[in-house]
Amino acid sequence: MILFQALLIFFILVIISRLILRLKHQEIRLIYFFKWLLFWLIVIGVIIFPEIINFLARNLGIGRGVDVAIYFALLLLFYFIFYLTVHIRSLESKVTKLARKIALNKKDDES
Amino acid sequence: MKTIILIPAFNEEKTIQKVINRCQPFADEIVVIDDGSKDKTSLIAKKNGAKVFKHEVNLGLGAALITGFEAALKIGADIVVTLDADGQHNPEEVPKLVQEIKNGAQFVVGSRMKHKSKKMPALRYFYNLGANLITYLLYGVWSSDSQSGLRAFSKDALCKINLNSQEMEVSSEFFKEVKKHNLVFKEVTIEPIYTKYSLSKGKTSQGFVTGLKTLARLILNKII
Repeated sequence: MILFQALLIFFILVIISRLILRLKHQEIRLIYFFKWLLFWLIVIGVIIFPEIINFLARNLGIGRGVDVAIYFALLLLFYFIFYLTVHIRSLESKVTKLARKIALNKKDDES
Repeated sequence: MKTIILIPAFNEEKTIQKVINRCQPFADEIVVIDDGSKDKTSLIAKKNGAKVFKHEVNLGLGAALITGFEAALKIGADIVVTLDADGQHNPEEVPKLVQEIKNGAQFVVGSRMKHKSKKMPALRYFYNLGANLITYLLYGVWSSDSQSGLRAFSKDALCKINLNSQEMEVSSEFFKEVKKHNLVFKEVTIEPIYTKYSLSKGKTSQGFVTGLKTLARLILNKII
């Protein structure tokens, strides 16, 4: 195993330990914990056995395995940005409705 | 007909008293929406006879206006006029907008761009022109001053429109609703007033970066 692989795996193990801590403190739901755990285990698998993405690259008609990883990473990142944007807007809308309700009801109480 | 002047305000303790006092002769009631101010805006507004509704946190111009419309309808408004709290509108021009509503218009905008002798600063003129064009391209309604804060609404228009904007993009969203509900839309000419104070506030609230953010939010509203 080359140093770069070891570093990446170490980095991911740190992320997994943070994930476990969040579950322990009930900051994330069990379903999200398992989804993220699965995701990071797959990434570790690909780091240890890079032939997996080379195999994928050959079958998908993409030149190099590294390119497959970059394409998938980009796709995932765009998906997360979209998901977070929608989620933040939904939260923003909830906070606004709440603040509006408080503002309108406070006046009612006073008058 | 009960006319309410609606003033969205955020940290406007320096100007709110003067604005409320100048508005009083032209409205049956004045409603101030304090959008999470950290200063004495609410207190001063209350002392000067305005009905105050306060957001606990700062939400943005759009959210403040929507709260204001709900409040105005609740207290029986027939006509609602919106006006900026920084003193950049002359309340003596409110009757012109109210008259248009009484003549049958449902949504009236006070246009600073139509004023012949007094012009707004060149950079503001350019920003506003761009905003008018974007509003037209997105919603298909042309206004000579889509971003003007001096507007009037009839009660039936307020009952029909459904706004979702959070911040400055609300100014353009009004035109989406004009198109959607086929509202009778008129413009009246108003004087562009730029005080040192309103220009200094505008630097942060209406600059180029805010313009880009507003554009991004308008596009997001369109697709999400």
